[in-house]
Amino acid sequence: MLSEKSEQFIHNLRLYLITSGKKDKEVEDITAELSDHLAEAEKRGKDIHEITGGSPEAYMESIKDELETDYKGLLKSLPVFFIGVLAYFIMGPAVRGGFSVNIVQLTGFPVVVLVGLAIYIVFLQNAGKKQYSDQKMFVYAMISYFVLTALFVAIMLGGNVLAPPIYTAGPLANNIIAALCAIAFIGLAVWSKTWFTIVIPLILFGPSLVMARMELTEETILYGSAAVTIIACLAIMIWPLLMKAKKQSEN
Amino acid sequence: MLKGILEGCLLAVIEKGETYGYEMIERLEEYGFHMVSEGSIYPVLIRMQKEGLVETVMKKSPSGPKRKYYTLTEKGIKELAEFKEKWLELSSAMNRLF
Repeated sequence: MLSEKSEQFIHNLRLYLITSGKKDKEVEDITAELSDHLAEAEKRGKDIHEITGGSPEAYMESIKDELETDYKGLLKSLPVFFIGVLAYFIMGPAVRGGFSVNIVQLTGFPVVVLVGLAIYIVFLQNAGKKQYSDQKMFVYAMISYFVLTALFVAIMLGGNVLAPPIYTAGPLANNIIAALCAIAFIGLAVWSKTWFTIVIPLILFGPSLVMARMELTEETILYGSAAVTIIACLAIMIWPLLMKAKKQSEN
Repeated sequence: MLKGILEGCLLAVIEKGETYGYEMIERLEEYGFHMVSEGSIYPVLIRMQKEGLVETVMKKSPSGPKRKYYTLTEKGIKELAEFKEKWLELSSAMNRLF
């Protein structure tokens, strides 16, 4: 059994390596090897500093530099990530029967998704490398959430003010879009091997489906669900990564 | 240069028989290498494996979890011979200098 400090170190190393795009197999290998080493060292009364040479941060980097980056895997997961976030944003309006898109949203969305991805990768890498405490991790996560939420809201709502729609879906198109989004969520669930991506849309868009049939204004429905939608959408971004890290630490 | 020396040390330790990370550190300490920080061998081992100098196999350890054991490959044996040659040259030059 490893001490809590060592467990934490291994967990952080795994998080850091995975968010650095390293191959799962290699990450698993080196973390298992280091766990074994730490267990042996602790039996002899040594502690983690003797292994990392005093700076966990520098040590993690030295491991990262030697592992291969899985560019292929990264390239594969990027479109999946993109489609997932896109589905989260358009399913709401489609379910409410009011999907439309304008040029600001069309061009701004991919940029914001990429910025969001960058913020999360930097955040999770730092959290691993600098051994954030839970409190610090929470504060930084909140700051990242806030920045991204502001960006998404600016694009989605600001777009409506700045530019006229270039496409407005009719009833049939809205249903097709909603169905495509549902398929995307199921696909995501299969890909990430978690029910999360099916359960959350159900919770989010289920009420919208009901609300759309009630006597509420489009705006009330929109604002009511927007906040929840965005938070869930961001959670979706990091969930697969955290699940992956958790699964590996259980192994 | 220090990195190269650590690689040479590890090649020499592994040559003495199949071994694993923690045991390598213990052996190095027995030989008097107290200046090597324990973790520093792992980035070097990863590189050596990538370069095909060592082969690894996972085996069950007496303490439970699987453990990674290292042996030298043909290429590793050759590399060690080259390292020894360079080291002898360097150390005799150092000795003359001191």
